[in-house]
Amino acid sequence: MAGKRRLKRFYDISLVVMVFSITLFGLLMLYSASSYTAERDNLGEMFYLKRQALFAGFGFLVMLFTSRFIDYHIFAKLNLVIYAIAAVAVIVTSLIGVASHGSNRWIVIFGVRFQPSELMKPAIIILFATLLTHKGRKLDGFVPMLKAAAWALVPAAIIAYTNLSTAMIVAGIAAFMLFVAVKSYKYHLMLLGGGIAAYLGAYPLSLLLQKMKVLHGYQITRILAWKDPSSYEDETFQTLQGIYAIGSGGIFGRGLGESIQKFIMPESQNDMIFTIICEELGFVGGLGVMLVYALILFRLYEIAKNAKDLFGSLLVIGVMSHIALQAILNIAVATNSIPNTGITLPFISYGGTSLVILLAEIGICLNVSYQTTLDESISSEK
Amino acid sequence: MKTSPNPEAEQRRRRQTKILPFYMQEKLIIGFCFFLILFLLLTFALFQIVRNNNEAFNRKVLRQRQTQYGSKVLPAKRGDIMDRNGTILATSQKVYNLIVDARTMTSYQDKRYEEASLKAVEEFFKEDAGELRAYIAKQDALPDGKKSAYYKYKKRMSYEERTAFLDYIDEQNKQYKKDGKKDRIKGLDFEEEYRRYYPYKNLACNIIGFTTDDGESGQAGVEQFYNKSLIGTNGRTYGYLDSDTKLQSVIREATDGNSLVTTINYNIQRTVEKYLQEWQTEDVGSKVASAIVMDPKTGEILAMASTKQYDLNEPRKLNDAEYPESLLLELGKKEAQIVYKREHENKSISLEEVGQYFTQEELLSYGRQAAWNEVWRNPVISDTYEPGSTVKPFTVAGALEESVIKPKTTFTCDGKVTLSDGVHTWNIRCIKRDGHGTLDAEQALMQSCNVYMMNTAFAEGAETFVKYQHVFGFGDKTTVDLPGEADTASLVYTADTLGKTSLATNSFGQNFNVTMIQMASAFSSVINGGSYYKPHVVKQILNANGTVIKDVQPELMRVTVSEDTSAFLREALFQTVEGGTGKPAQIQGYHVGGKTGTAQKLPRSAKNYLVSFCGFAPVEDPQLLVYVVVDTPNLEGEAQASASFATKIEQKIMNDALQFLNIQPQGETDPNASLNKDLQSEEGILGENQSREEDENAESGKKEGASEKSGNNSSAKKESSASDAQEGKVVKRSVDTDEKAEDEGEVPDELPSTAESAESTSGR
Repeated sequence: MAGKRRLKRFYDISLVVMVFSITLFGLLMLYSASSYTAERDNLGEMFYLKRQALFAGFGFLVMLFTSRFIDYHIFAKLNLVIYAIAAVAVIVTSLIGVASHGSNRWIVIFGVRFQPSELMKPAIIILFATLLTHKGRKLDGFVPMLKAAAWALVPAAIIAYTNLSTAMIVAGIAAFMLFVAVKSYKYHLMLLGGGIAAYLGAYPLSLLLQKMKVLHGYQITRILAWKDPSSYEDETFQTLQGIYAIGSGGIFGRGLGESIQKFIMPESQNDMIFTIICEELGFVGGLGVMLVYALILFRLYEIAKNAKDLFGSLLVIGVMSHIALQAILNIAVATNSIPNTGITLPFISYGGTSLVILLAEIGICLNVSYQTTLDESISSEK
Repeated sequence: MKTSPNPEAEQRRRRQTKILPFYMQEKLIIGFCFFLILFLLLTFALFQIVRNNNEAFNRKVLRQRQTQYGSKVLPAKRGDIMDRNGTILATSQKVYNLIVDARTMTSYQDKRYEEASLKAVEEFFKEDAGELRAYIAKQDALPDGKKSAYYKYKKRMSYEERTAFLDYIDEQNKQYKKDGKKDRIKGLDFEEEYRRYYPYKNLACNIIGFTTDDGESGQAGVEQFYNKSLIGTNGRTYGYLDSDTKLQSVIREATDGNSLVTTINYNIQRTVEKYLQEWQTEDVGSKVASAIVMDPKTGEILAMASTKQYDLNEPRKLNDAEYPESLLLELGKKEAQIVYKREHENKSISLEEVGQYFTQEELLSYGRQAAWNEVWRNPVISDTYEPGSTVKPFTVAGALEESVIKPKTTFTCDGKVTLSDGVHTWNIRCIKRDGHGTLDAEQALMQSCNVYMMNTAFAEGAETFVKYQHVFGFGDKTTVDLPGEADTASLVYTADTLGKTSLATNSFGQNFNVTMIQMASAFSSVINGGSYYKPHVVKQILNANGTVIKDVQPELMRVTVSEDTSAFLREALFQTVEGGTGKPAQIQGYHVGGKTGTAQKLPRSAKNYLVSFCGFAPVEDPQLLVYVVVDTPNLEGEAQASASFATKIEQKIMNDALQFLNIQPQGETDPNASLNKDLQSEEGILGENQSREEDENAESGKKEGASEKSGNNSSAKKESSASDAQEGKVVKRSVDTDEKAEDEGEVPDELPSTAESAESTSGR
């Protein structure tokens, strides 16, 4: 396998640096946002910081180990196994999960709370990368495409029951990977059109659905509350406070650690941490964060483009869409551009499972970059 | 970073070999750009929020934060009220409210705080916390941001209760920890508050007054008059935003209120109340009887009381026997009439119609209000009355000052003065129908002769008479430092309106109204050498550390009479007690002066009387003035008209007060009248004033029995002396002060010479 001639290795150090930076920045912001809550609950002001730092450290070890010692081709063989494990975990969780945040999202393994729906994201990436490597070009009709998409849509439907946002990410990853792999444009243009229509029509539709009682109660209220915050004060409390935070931060913010809203917003270290960043560092700080995401995406784009085989490219494309979708949806929620769903900000929000899995995914991408060489004789399994 | 040595060639080759097919590369670029566009759109959305709402949201955020921060009040302690020796009469005790913080208590889904905390409340207080459970369940259902952190569950717990509960919580939490449970008792906290407390309940209720429940505002008495000084300033913890809009937390400590040292003497006050109650419950009793004890040389009020008392700790509790619902309803109807008239442009309704406009509840509420006002009323300064003969010394004093009469001036009393305006004729009678004969000024006072007074007033003329009424303060407020002093300006005549008949009746204290505080102040000036001091009840104001910040000096308002006139009156009033109408006021061993008063009340046909006595001692150097007014004794008609009812009460008060103040007797005192006679153990303690509240309750029963006994004794003694006088065997007491001591040394030995002395001896 890879690498007799070291000089031709392509290990993307800049991506490592960027991911490392944004994770450290995330810890800093997390500390600022969570110290008050932690202190108030008698946990010690460093409680959330310590936990997250532990996960980050562990995640980096996983990332570096994966990037050097686990050949990504092994995932092509294990794709169905990983998918099956994730699917079982999701189903089990929805049946017996520990109650938290109003719906069942967690299971406890060896005393660590674990969010199995997070596992579904890499599972889908790996499955689709394998699937599309084999049949990408043949999936030109509507029916074959739908068949492939079903691999993602079925688990997404199960997850959606308890966690709509993760389901959206799972479906989104699949849709993006299909878009890149399939030759035709029209289905995805239709999907985009449908998406825009849904975005515009969601509010009137929810009013209708509310009467028909199709969607889950709390999800439909979120959509209704999105456009009409004043009549749903309880539900929009967090959203409104988030917008106040962004607005009051102004262009340059109050300064690091000077957030006022963190005293009022419950669990500001979770989904709404972007609003605290904007309050403390202002519009400029928010823009900076988005810029770092764009740069990370650009690095992933470069790796995907230069990967030594299609499977590697598709893996990286999957990870890229995962990070992009999650960051975009989180910021969209923070700015109340879309209804409130619980999406974490990648590398920054509090949440061990999500962070470790993201870092592992980056590790896979780094391994793809690591195996990129110019030596024709060693490359190409195709 | 792109480590390939020849990127262009590599690109070309990859496109050719189609590792990543070209169309996929194209779509990847499109996809990447799609994400970039979304980021751009979000940047725009972010910018919109910042641009449009920066200022407005900033204000909103700061306001939210400040209201969250600035809500905690640190209560100031209301100052104490003490008697002149430091006995605490009113104080504020720190009490604790149990606050339930539902936000904390319900902060975990697994109810780790909720269950433990509720269980703790139920077990510690041994009660069903169903109400609290319901409240917590309701809070639990709310989203985090809406939960309340403040619910007053228990009010006014003592320090001991609080400490015990906190210890219990600690103990339980330790146990949970030991058992490896996640349950904790949390979200239960204490808030401090002050509660006003009056250790002696109804003692000096009219002077002290009470406060609203929160202790912020005094409702009567000194509590009201000195409210500003007593309240102090509440502290606060609050947040403010500095120039960098950083939130600063500030604690402004509370400034405790000032304490008041009143002029009240606890012992005398108690004595006054005791004898008034004794009169009311064990003797004849009356509609109301009031008394005031004053230091004539300073205007300090040592005691002030009436038979109407209420418990300062429960000022709104009405005695059901005294105020049954039927009476409340009656009072309420009258009040409602007034209210209706006020609200409907003077349209009147009859008592029967009231029911149509007001509900039963409203009427009862008005009735209670009226009843409270009756109960809280301080008769000594708020009630006006015709004083009767106790003003005769003022008539004489004014005339002497103006040299209208001389001490030796005589008038002849034939039992009446006849006045005529040509159409009508009035006969104004003296108290003695057949006349006193020829009297000089001293004798006139001793016999309380109306005719002498009328003739004096006629000689003086209306103008001078009215002038002297005002010199003595009648018709003007004394400006005593208590709320609710009656305005008597319209209850006295002016020089223009004072006709001859009115002048005649005014001269012996009818047809004009005074208050007790006016009488006591004026009387003090007449006997102390002519200095009219402002009557007052507060002696010192202390700050929270006990430092004197204001010393109230006796305030000389004016000079009423000359020293000569004063000396003459002291002597004349001494003789009044010695040999005139005031005999029951005598106290063995002391030289007591005083003047009786018997006034017929309006309407005259009802034959109701108000009797009074104003006494002072010692005559040579008056240090105590005791004025007692008995309004309408519980007897029929003329039987009421005996000043001795008031005089006897005054005598008892004076006797005890002289001893409390350790005033040197002018002769040997009667051991039977001694306070220490058989109360050694109990009353002896009263020498030191502090902290005897417990003894108070424990021994009150015993003490009451004892005082009853002493009361019997002293009345026995008085009877004997009164009969002495009647039989002309008055024990002569020399007024010539020099030999007094030797002379009076003999007195006790001579006493048992009468028939009644047997009884007196047996009582001894």
